[in-house]
Amino acid sequence: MKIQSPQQRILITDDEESIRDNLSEYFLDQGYIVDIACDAGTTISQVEGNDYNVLLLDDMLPDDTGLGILPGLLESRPSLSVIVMTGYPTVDTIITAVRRGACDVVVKPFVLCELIAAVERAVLRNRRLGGEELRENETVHTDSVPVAATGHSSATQAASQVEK
Amino acid sequence: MESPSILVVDDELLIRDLLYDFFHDQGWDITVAEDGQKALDIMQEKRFDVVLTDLRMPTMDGMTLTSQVQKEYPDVPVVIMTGYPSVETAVEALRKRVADYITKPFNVNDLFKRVTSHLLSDGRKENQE
Repeated sequence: MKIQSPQQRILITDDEESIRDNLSEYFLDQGYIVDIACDAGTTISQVEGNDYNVLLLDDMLPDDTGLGILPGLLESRPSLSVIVMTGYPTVDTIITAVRRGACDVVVKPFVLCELIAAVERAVLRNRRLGGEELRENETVHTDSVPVAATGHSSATQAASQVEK
Repeated sequence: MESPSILVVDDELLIRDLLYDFFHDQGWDITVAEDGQKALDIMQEKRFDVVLTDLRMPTMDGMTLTSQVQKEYPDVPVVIMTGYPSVETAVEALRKRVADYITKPFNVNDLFKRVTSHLLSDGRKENQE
């Protein structure tokens, strides 16, 4: 399912370049506006400065944990849908994600279609909550650098496993 | 001020009795049910501020009950408690946007604080005061 207008803004945070590249390429091809971040500090400043619809947030970052910065992110952007990506899933991790307001957790290594499904659930939920009208009426300020589109995302890549 | 109301759903009599006594002593209006279907039957007759449900139960399990409650009573927060926690059920609960996921055995005071926090965050405090 391709997300139509208005364009959805997504921030992909992962310290692993290959994950950032694969995900950004896919979502750019799907018509999303995509930014990337490789650490917690950049993620915080990007979220504060941009009106993202969805954040894909790796839990293990070089300068902090994704779950550690999650409350602050949602405090500054309450309507942001945060999908936590973790390679070390435990019940406690998921409970923490529930309590801190994540909308989904995707366990690494994941098949890309799992992540796509999570993003689409988040987008649909945002629309049901009426966030779309709110965003349409807001002025979007952006200081971040969009990811360059390579323009050749394939079904093979979509089905490939992303591992950390 | 009206007492907050809670529906506790668990197939273990011991848990139902424990929670009934505790919430009752705290001044809450508590109703108990032994499975999901009985809980839904009760909810047709009475409005609750929060539902606290076990996962593994006969007739209708807690996850199915959660889906039904969210469909029929979307404003009522659901707190899950389970003696068989798993990443899979925790993720499913997260995706259903449950208010909380609590593992057994639990400290009843901690559970009470958790349940109460969802009442407050849900804006019901203003309605009750």
